Amino acid sequence: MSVNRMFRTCPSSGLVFHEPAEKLMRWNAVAAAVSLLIGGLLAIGVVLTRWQAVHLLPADRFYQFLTAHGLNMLVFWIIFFEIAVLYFASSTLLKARLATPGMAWAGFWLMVLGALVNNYSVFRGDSSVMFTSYAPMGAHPTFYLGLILFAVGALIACFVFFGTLMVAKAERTYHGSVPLVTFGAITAAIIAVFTIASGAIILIPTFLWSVGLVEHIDSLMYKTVWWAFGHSSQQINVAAHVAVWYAVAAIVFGAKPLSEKVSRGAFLLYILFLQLASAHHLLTDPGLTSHWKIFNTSYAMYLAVLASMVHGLTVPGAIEVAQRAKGYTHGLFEWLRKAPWGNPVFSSMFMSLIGFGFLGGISGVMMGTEQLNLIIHNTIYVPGHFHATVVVGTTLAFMGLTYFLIPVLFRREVAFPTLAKWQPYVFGLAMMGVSLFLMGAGTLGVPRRHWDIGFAGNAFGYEFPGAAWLMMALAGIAGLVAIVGGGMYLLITVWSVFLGKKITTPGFQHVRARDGIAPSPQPVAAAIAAHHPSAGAGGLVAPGTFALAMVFLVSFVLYYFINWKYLSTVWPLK
Amino acid sequence: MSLDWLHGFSLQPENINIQVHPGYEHVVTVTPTNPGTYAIICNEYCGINHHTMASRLYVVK
Repeated sequence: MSVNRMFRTCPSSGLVFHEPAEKLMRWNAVAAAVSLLIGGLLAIGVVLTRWQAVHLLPADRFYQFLTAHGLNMLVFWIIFFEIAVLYFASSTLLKARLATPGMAWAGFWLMVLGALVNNYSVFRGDSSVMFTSYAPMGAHPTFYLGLILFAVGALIACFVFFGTLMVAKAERTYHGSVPLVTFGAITAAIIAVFTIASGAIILIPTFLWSVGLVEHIDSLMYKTVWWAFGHSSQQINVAAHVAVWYAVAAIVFGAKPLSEKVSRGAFLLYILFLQLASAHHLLTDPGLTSHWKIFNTSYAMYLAVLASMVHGLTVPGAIEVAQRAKGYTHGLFEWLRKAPWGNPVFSSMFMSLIGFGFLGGISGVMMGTEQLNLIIHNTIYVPGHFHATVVVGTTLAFMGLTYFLIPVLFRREVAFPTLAKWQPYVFGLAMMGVSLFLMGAGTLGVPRRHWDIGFAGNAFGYEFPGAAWLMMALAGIAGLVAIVGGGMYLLITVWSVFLGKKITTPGFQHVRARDGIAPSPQPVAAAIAAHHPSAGAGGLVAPGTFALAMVFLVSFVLYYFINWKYLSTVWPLK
Repeated sequence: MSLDWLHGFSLQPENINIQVHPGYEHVVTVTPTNPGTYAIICNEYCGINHHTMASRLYVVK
């Protein structure tokens, strides 16, 4: 079998695309967008039902929509996009041919099949078991089968990624160590393998149970192992979107990481202290010892949170250094004021960073603290938290990257540029609103995954305070605006990719690269792939970022104590 | 301990939230500090009638 060694150098960015890798990235991105569309349409039903004044759907439809919304967004949209990112970070950034494109296609079609089978099971109506599908509540066998097929496909893609790294090394397409963005993608892929293994350990027996071959699935065992899959998969997203932050900082500003060693060390912490996030789902469960809970929610947590704070500091720090070098040196924040706020690649990435850090990060620490978890567990605070991390954090970062990829990968001009300029703000700010209002309602005790907090017709119902109803209504309004923002993104991307103006370069052709070694890099490609000695060696190079970090820490501490204050008013219990 | 599947014990407005598993006894000792009428609602999705699963707790002096 002959190996395809045809490459294309992007004339505007200098990035080098291997022909089969390019096609795979495009198809994965399209599958991601389709999942986002389905998930977004379902969100309309979810949002308008939880806004109690509207209360649109009947209970069965609501739970069905909520289940499908979770799966299409959290699993299918994000993972399809991540596979595209993995191929980009390996084949494109290392200028290497993609290992085994045939296997990569097999993986892709398995993922598509898995997503279809899983959606089929939920739309049948007998598998409204939520994203978590806690046994012994059972779904139709195709529910688990779809997830298993999807996971096998994703696992194949991870191994194609690792194979591509080996090809790059063997064919000497890069020198020294891999670029930081690739390093972040490796982190994501390693966590993905662990995640998928955990998923297999729990979903395969559950599938066998659903067809009657296994007699009993223990609920505590299921919940414990499931979260090794369920939350670790969110750490894949974190590693992936942090890699995207570094990429965007390099693309837009030519920024160099303040210290590559520190950034790489921070990625490693994600792998080493992975469990903490899974642990916070289990804090109010019986069966696990206090030792286990305390280890995971204190020691492990400090180190993993530290990793995110390192990234949250070094990315804007690197941007600040790059901007100061361009002459924006007045005061603490001229570098930030003069940043290209009209460029959706930048604005998405920066809002992703702020939203992830301030809203997602701080709320995550609250939930991950064993004692505080008691007043948060299973309230709508939890969706508030993950709409900040996974939607503002991951989804918005991926949206920003898309605006870069449309001209570079799809060779089309971005359609509706004015709309594109506003889209990150509409989506990002509205989603931050959703997240804040849900957290507010959760603090007042409103449960998540609940059709009617009015308990209509129930003699024992509870009357939530008016503020809780108000918060849910505000979350509903913000949710609708966010859905409009998501619709803008889909309109812009789909229109650009299928109907947008083609970017043509006279005399363009694919070139045959000798043994995978592609032509020398140009500006953007060089910026992403370059290595740098420590930029922060002499004194404080990024005072503005330092000031921002202090604001962050002060809000963190204040909010932490407010929550302890709430807890101190709760009945003592042990 | 639950008799069928997962449920969530949520005491309002105190906002104490605890997971309830089938087959596992989970003993928590609570010391109420104020008398009054409190609501217990299920906050782990347990099926189509999840929202009807609610009860009362009376604390008297």
